Amino acid sequence: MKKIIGLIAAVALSAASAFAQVNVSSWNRVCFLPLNWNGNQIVSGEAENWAGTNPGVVAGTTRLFFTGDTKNAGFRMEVYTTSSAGGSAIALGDPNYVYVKPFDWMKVSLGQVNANMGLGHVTFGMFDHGYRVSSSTGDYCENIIFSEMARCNFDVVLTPIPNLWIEYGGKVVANKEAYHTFLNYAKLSAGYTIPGVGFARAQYIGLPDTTDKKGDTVKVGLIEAAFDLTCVPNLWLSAGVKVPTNFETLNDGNWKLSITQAGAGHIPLRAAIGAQYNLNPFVFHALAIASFMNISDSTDSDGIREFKDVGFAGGLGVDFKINDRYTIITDFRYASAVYNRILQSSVSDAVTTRGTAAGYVGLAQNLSNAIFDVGFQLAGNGAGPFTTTVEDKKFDLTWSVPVQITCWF
Amino acid sequence: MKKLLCTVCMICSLSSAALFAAKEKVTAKDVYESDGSSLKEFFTGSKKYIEFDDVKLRTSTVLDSLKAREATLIYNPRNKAAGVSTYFETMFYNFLFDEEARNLIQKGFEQYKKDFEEKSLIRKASSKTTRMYGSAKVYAEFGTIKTMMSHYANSVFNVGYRFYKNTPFFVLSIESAKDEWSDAEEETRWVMPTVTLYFTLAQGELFSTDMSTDVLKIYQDEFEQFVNSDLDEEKNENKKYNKKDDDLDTY
Repeated sequence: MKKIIGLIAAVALSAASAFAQVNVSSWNRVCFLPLNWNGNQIVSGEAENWAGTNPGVVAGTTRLFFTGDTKNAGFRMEVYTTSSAGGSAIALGDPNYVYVKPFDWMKVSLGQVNANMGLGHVTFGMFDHGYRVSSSTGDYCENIIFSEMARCNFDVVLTPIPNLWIEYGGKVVANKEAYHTFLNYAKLSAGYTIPGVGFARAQYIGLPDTTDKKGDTVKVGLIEAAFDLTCVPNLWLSAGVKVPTNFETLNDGNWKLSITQAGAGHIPLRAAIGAQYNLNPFVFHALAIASFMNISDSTDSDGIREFKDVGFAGGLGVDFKINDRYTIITDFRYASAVYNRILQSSVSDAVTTRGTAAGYVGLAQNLSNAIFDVGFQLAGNGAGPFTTTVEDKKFDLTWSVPVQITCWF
Repeated sequence: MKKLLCTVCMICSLSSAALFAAKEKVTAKDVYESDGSSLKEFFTGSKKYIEFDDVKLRTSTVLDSLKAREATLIYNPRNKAAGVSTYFETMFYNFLFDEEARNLIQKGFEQYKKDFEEKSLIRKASSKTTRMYGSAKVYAEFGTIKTMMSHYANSVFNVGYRFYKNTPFFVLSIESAKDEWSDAEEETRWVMPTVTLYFTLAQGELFSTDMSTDVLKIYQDEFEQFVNSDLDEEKNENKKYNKKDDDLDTY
């Protein structure tokens, strides 16, 4: 522990003397659930607000970011606390890399870097202010418009002309042929900002090889396209589609088509649209997602699972700004049973095979470098915290009182 | 003991930047000569903006009273954005306005002055009066101390007025926005809070005048003198070196 703290201090000190624009920042969040009815009893918990269904075992996150920049080179480093057996430990976060800019129009990063140009989330309500129950987090809103590839080992960004960027990033795959690094675990993307109109981007994400029904190796990938409309005052509208390159391969029933290296779950053909409209003192949020293709629970005579059904998920939220200091946050989410099932790691999973819904009402106190939230949250069909067992899923409605502090420096 | 020593080292290294923060104003020459990466700038702060004047204003506190601030007016001659640099609660902010936004501030202030003199200001409905004279875009930079401002956001601001303890104030209210610093992990959402700057009539007059094109042109011209001076020198030497010998004989 002493060594680690010493290391951090040494980094801060040496950075101060070696780099010009050195910054040390911090971001911290703890969500306390003093009262949580899990359908069985009232319990308490504490965690990051994205800790999942069992928040009692972790205790929030405190994070330090070190950055050093000159005009032609720099570094990023993130250190954070995490729970471990017998207490807490220090771990490294996603961005830990060095970069150079050999030309004005080129940035080359090596280390652990998120390839995230054009990243598209739709986040609001309980995602930021309450406990992220199922249907308000992960595949329901993060990366939903346009994905990142997290923890790449190299990333090259080109900006050859104004408003245009091209990004190529990927992961080193040990003990495999190089094409795995440069194709199967890589992404190539490009984006263009149309001044005064919007922002368009598209990308190809390579995925690990899979096998078809004959047992032959097949290459697969995911094509994504997205557009943000920015020309209407006070309105932000963002839409995106994700299309697997090889539908046939999905038929092997093994759920091979996933981009788990990007931190996401299994992704079928999917379209999403998110919107935010500012009408002072209100801010309206909306999100709608459709999975056009899902895999059925049964197989045909050839042992192949059929594609059927369309899964839906979405949310509506309204923020009401009482004054500069206080905002009332409201949020309602719904996800259909089909939509939830596609997120599971295998068809046989019994967890979350019903439609889920959740609602949140809370008060946010906005400080210059912190937000203090107190709210009330309802979750239906096992979407809430402390519902890890199938038995818990029998309870239709749970509630909790999240109290959350987020602060940054 | 080691732990304590290391912690002290870290605090010292971080606070040194604040302790050595520039006391003197940044001039057009400083901005011209700055390459944004010298070691000196780590201790003295960024030389991105000409600091051309001070203005007094007020910002709200956690208890919603008003606190007087000594703010600095800043100008970036490279992109022609001007604005104000101030603390709000525990964070340091630069708010930068383009020409269109500055025109709105000036027109808004003129209207406020008229309404003030005619005593036609509305005492109630502060959410309406806060945006009485319109809205425009603003770019914000912020951080814990002046030498560490890595966070930034594009937002909108409202021009209007508010009453505090029966006294009217001309206000610029910069709306909350998502921090666009993109290097953090995706779950770590950073937010810029709503920041409202309160000006008395006299303070607003000074601020509005300083945001005028005529005033900013002085600093733009000063900056361009340095640019042109270097270019002229380069041109002269180029001409001198590349002149043919025959031409030189004519000297």
